[in-house]
Amino acid sequence: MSEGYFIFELGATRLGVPATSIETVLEPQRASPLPQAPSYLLGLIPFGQEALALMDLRAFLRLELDSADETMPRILVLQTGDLRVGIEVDRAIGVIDVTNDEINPVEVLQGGRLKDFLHGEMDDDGNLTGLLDIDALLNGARV
Amino acid sequence: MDEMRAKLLGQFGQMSLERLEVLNLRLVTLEEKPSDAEAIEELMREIHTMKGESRMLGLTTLNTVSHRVEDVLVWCRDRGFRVPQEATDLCFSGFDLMGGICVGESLEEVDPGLVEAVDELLAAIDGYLTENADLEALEPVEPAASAEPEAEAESSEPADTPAARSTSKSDGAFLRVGVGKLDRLTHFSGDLFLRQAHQEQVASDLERVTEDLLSAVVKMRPGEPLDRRDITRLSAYGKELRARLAALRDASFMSHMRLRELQDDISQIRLIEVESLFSRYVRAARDIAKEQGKQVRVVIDGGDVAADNHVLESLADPLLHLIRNSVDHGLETPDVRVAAGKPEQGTLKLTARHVGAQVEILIQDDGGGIDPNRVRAKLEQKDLLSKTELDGMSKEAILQQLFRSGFSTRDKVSDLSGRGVGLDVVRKNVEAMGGTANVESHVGKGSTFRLMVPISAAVTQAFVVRLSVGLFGIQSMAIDTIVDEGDLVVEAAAEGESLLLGEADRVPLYDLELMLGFPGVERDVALRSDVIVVRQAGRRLGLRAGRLLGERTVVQQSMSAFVQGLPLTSGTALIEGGELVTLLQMHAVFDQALDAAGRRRKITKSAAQEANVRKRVLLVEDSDLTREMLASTLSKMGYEVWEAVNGQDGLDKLDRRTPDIIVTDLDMPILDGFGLIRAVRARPRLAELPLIVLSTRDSAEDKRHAAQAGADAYLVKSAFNEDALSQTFASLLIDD
Repeated sequence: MSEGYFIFELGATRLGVPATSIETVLEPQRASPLPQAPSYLLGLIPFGQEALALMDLRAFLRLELDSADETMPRILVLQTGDLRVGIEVDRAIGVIDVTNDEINPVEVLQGGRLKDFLHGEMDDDGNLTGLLDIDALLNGARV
Repeated sequence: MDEMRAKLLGQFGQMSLERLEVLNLRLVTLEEKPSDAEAIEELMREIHTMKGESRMLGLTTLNTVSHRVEDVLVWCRDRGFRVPQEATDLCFSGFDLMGGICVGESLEEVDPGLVEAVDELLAAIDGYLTENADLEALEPVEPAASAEPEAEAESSEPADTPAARSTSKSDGAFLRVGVGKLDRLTHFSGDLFLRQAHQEQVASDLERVTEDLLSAVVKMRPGEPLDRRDITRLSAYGKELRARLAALRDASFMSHMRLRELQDDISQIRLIEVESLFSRYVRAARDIAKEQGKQVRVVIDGGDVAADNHVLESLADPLLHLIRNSVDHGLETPDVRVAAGKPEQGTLKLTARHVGAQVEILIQDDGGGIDPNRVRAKLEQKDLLSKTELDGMSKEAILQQLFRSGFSTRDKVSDLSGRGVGLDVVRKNVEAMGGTANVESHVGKGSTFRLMVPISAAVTQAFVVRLSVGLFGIQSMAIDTIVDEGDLVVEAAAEGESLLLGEADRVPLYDLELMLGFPGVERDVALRSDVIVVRQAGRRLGLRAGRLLGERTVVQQSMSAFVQGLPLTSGTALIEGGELVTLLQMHAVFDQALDAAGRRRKITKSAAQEANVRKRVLLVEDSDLTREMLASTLSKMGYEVWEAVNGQDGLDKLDRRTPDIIVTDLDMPILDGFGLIRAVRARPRLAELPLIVLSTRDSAEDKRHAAQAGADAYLVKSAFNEDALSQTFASLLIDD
């Protein structure tokens, strides 16, 4: 049994979220900051008739500021349950199919708080990729 | 269960709850006027309908309860309509159980606990009817004493007749199916407003291009490469543009008018009558009074006043608390009332009326009132306000403190008002929808709680300000006044700046950007901005608020669920050009200001007053306004201030006398701050003198240069606050 994962990069870290949780991908834009928000919360951006919270995933996961070779920043709009949030990524790669037996326990990816929000890691053609637990991530980051 | 049956059950449950509200209301009326034939007829009609519908849907338990309650009412009717207390109590118990079943998880599989209670009730009804089966006519029952006969008439005005009520209910019924669609329509209208704003923007652009073109033509002179024919052509082109512009403006005007109509229609559809809300509390007030051996008569005035469904639903819990509060804390027991020369039965009056685009709701009782001296004593005892602050407050302002978080005048928490929401939560709920709450009271005469809420929460008026980080909105209802920069009279004190609005009318003044925790605009710019004075629970705050864009009618959106835990924001809205406005939660802004004021008080006391030594500060600053403000702040903090208008002026003064500390700007004419610091450190007499830089520059490089030159501390003007200044002074002067 396989599931589609949307793969993206944060610096040198390669991550994936279930493709079904991706609502859309936006061009980067400046957010209006919110008072008393934690530092990983960049603020709000207009999204249709609503306001979308924008999150600095790298800051939330406390990943180091290493840079990818080639960046093309995007905002991924993620949704799970009643929670919808935009996350800034350095590069959006695309969707891959992942079978259950390809997913391994998290052993190699250990940076920052990464391990708390991964439900597994996998080798995608030689690229170590962490698969995020989207419920844990968004519920852990909500304020 | 098939989809159709689930839908039917859902509708039945909702309608039954509404019916039960009417049943409770009518039974309370009967309790007061046991021979009210219209009330008993309406009771019977409603209960009969519930019985029929529950039988049709196969809801056995509900059907049995409604059937037996109907039997009690038929028994009363057949014996002359006069409903004795025991029968009334049986009916109330029946309504409670029916309500319990309707709000339960399943109408079909009733909770075993409720089934047991139903069996007990059925047995009690059987017992009562059997015991009294031989009774041919009920004895007349003395109606409860009425406090004010005129007010009695008020509560049974024509709008309260069964026919009028029935019409009213059917008028409101469509909301049950329409609200989801209406929400979308409301959002859609917001979208259309944005489009219209865009159209307006395009028109402005066209106007600009047209004017450019025409002015270019005007500048043409003979001898230029263009000949007359070109000029004619260009002029014609300009005129054409202008004609199109006029057409665009016409279209824009028309769409604006249409949108207004659409928005008005939508707002009207969303409106329901306040009566539907008020009627829920008649039974609640009766039950609370009865538990406490009190008597209460509920009078409803203005039940036909209409407001947004969402607004009224949001008021449900705050109103219930206020009504509990009035009956529990306000109304006295009959013996106390009689001793005070009042009727045994207390009156609780619920009033609604339109005031502009708002609804005013009054909850008035004729009870013992609230003693401001007791409130004051409690505030002092709980250390919520200092004696000095309380001395400066009127009795009315002290009463508003009842809405403060954690405040309670009762030493023992009562079973009633002590439960659930407190008055602070009432205030917060009301303010969350852009409303206000306040209280008036007269000892011995009673209290009036006044709630002002917008008729519609979806569309609201907000004042929009542009801070350096984005747009923020303040609900117009919270705004007391706006003071233009030219009219600002600011007084600096150790406890912070105040805005002088009149001879003795001082309002604490804060920088909104700094209060929200943002780095802030350049201080000099902030100093020139207008001030919005906001009001809440009898207190006011002045907010320096960047650039004021003015008032806007906005469609308010709830805060994204992801960030709903943030305290200072209540929602968002889009304005012209698709710009996002974050709406501020004013009660939280007030809390923030009060916290800041408390902290500041403690720090200034410890740093200056407790030291009890008047230190001398040389203040070097070229901006007159900033220097004046800083000098005033420092002197209120207990320092003797010498002023210098630039670095050279500072050095001249230093040559004549030595201060305890220097505060200097960096960017100044003649000799800048860096030059001053180096010159100071080059003089052996001044080499160890504490020196603080206070500058608009915020780069790491500037800070490093200042430190290398010999500065001991560096404060950025945009993040300036007296706490930071106090702490820096305290750390540098500590060993002196």
